[in-house]
Amino acid sequence: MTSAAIEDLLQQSGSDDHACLRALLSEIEALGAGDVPAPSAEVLALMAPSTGVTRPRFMSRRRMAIVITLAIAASLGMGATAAAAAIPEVRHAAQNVIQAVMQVVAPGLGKTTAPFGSPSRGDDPDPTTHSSDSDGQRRSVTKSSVSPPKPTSAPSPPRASVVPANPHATDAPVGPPAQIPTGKHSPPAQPHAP
Amino acid sequence: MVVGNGGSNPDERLLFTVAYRQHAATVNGYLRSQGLPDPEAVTQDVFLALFPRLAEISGGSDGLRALLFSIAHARVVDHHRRRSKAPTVSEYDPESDRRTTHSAEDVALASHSHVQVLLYSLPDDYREVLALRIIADLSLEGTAQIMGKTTGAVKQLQRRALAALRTQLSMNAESTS
Repeated sequence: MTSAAIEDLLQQSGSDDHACLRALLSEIEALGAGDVPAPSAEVLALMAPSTGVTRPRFMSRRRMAIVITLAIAASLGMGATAAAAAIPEVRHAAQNVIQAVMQVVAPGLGKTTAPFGSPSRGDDPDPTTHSSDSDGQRRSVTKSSVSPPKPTSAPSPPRASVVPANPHATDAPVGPPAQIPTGKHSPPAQPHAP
Repeated sequence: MVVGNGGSNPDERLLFTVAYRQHAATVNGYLRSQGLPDPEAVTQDVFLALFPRLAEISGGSDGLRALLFSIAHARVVDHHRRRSKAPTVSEYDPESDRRTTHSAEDVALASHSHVQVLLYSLPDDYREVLALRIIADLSLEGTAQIMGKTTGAVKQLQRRALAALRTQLSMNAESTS
């Protein structure tokens, strides 16, 4: 098989006897089809970093595959969750499981933390929401997600929901577990701030 | 297409990298076909000479190839000029003298393929026009520009080069039979 360059050359030469030349011209063409010679140090210094040409494309494809897989799994999980949330028994069982896990993972956090998706205490400036959240320790989690907050209940101060939830917050100023649930309203953070 | 404006910005480095990966093997093959003693080293020189001239490129990839092979052609011309003025002299080493069975020419040519041997038997202009047209894949006009000739002269040159190749082929066939 000859390339277009060879055919072009043979046509322009005007000769009829092409058969014996085609194979030879193909061999001449093959001289330029060898391996790429290794660049010298000087040439290499002028080149772009190797990471900018091939590897990022490969990595981005892998990352894209991972992201797509996670997105599919998340969408399937959300569909199953939405279907299960319509059944009250499943919903209560799920909440119990979540609370049990939270007590094992973070014992001080499970009593006063709002369920997933609700705003955190530290970010909410309205004190009335804190009173409704801290209404009845464990029940407050289920009630706040199912029933509306009681308008007539006695409002408790906003920090009252924080201090009992994490009694170590005032004693342990530097420990990370004490600072995670208290957020930016953490009492020990202020005296130690420079 | 006009690429860059001098210097060594990332775009030019990227263009240089792509140019090397796409054309280094072709430049190396072109230089080998012209009988240079160390084509790989000259290939590196060609690309080092290309880098500061990247801003001159116009005409896209065809322009890049034309500039690249005009640099390579200049190196080949320099080589032939040096060789004609001052032939290479090497010390005589009796241990490497194997002329008891073959001539020195035979030993030298044995390291090349029969295509290279055929090409070396052609005049410089014939060999040059064939390499630029076939290996470098340049057009008639591009070849004429690099060789400093008119397109009509290049057409005539390539016709004669093919005729010389055909003659060489028939001579080889006669000698083997």
